[in-house]
Amino acid sequence: MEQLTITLRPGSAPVHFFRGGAGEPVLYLHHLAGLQGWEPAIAELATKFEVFAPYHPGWGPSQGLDEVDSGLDLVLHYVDFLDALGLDRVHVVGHSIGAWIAAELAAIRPDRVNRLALFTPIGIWDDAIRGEDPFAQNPLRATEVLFADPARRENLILRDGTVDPLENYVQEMKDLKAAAKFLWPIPDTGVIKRLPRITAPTILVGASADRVVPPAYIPIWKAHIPGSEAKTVLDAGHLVNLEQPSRFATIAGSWFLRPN
Amino acid sequence: MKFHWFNLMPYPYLPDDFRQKHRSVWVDVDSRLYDPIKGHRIYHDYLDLLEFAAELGFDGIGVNEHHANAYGLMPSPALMAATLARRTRNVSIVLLGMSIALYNPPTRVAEEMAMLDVISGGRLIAGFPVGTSMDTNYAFGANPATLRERYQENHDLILRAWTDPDVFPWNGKFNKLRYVNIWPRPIQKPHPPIWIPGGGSIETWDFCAERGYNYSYLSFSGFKRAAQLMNGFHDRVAELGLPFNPYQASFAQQIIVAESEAEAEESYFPHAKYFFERCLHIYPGFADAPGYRTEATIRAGLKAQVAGVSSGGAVGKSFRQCVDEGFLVAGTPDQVTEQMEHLITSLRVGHVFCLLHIGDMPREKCEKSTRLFAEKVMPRLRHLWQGYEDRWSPKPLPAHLMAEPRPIRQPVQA
Repeated sequence: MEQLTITLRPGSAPVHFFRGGAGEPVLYLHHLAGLQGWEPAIAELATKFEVFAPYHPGWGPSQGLDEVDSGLDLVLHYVDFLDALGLDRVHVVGHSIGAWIAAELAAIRPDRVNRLALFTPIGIWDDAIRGEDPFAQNPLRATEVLFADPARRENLILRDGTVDPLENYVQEMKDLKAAAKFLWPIPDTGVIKRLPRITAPTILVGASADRVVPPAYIPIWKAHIPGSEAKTVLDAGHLVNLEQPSRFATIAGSWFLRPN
Repeated sequence: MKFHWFNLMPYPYLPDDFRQKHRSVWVDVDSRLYDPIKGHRIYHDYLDLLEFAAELGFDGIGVNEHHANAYGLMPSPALMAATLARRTRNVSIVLLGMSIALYNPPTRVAEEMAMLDVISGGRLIAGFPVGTSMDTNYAFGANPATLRERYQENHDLILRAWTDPDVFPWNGKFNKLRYVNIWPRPIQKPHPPIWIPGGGSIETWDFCAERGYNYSYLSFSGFKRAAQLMNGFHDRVAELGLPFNPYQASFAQQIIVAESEAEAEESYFPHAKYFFERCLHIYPGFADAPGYRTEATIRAGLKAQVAGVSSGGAVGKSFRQCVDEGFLVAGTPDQVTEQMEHLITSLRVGHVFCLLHIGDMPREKCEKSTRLFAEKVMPRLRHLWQGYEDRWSPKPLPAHLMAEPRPIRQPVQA
């Protein structure tokens, strides 16, 4: 695994990303609260694939939130990213806000996406389902709501005290600010009308205890993406990658290995 | 030294068990707690008090903007200012909000404030708050990631709408207007004085210092906790090589004046408790949306918390503690004069917003406290900051040009 940066256009903020493993290329688009480094789920995927895991613009060490104002800007950002790395066609695993971006990418540039796995996707709103507001949480415990078991945040985000809680607080506010730019105040991104354009074979994965995107949203996504399949991971909240990393990697990996 | 009478207009009938039964006074506060028939009465009581303060010689009377909030019944402060403009003479109309980032297009603010300046004969102070996170992000849905950028653009547009005599196009990021040309235009030239009500955002210091605006620090934590932030502003002014002027700074303080200290505690303090315990009961998840505060301000706040000067809060504190810690300025006229002088000189402010109505205080008590302040405190503090020019107060029309209401009476029937 290596941590790299790449500048996509002259003057634009460099993209920070992780690269590791060997095999068919996989683009990993992270959830609304960012990346926890080379996460166990990514490491496991990298035993079978070459995985590229960038920080979205504005998250983690990546700057450049000012350069993206819309879903289209994010799609173009990732088209540029694939071009810069010389990646013609990739499998994409998108999670949470990353699933929204992945779905947009697959709808707008079907030629660049091989197979698609969308975990706890954000971007569709139904008044009858709602879910918890990820942006209206006690700021000092802002990400607790993203776990099935809030106590796991202590271990999975704060690393049992090895992460400075104040620095973590500043970083969480920064990451959630970037997410808010696209999802505030209601995460209806309009993606629903573009989903039928997706031609990549797609699997949708909900988490049984996701309080932010309740599993009831999964059938809506499935109904709009032609030929898609769906699965649910048990004992996981919105951050299914952290709570059930092995299930996460196995579902995405076996989906990508399935012959088209 | 200048004094402004200011009322948040709280709803005074929140139940005793409000803290236990409800999670927040703001954003998702239960609307079934509001009785509009009682509301009718209290609007009139509150406006009567503002008009009374004007008659007693306060320099300004103030209103502000809050949304979905049981302690601030002024979602539209311009409406309150309009009725006050018509019913008062000479006093400044301190419109400490419109939250300019919330108006789309913000030429609406330029128009309404120009109307108020013209109706009042040039008595308007134009407050441009960002607004709290509860008001802007949660109640009005403004995106916290872009709120400050939108605020900046709206500020620039309002200023140009007031000062550019020609029709102009505005091709902004948040506003696109082919024809900007507001009618009427303000009486005060180039525009009414601009005051920036702020919490603890450090970017506001630079903005006020560089633009020459009044920095109005509004806090309910009292003047002793405010010293660090107020000094931060004065320090920025000095660092930029600009002259110190106390009139560029203002502060809001809750004040109780009574005949005796015992009366202040027994008769008035329960209303302050109502305010601290019910009106400031805010769900933390609505207090600070991600992106509402800049990283620099968050880091400065963390440093302050580490240094032990965080606001804490007055919940559960005794009258004595509240006075000692500065949450309240309270006591006899002599005691209040002494505390106010300490406040004014330690914060180096030339304007104080006197919050003499607190919580569920009934009008009679407020009237008495207000009168004592105006008659027995204010005159003894007027001399402070003599020699400094107040460039942040309105410049009304001369008396001979000032119009007054001229009621048209029915002729008496013979």
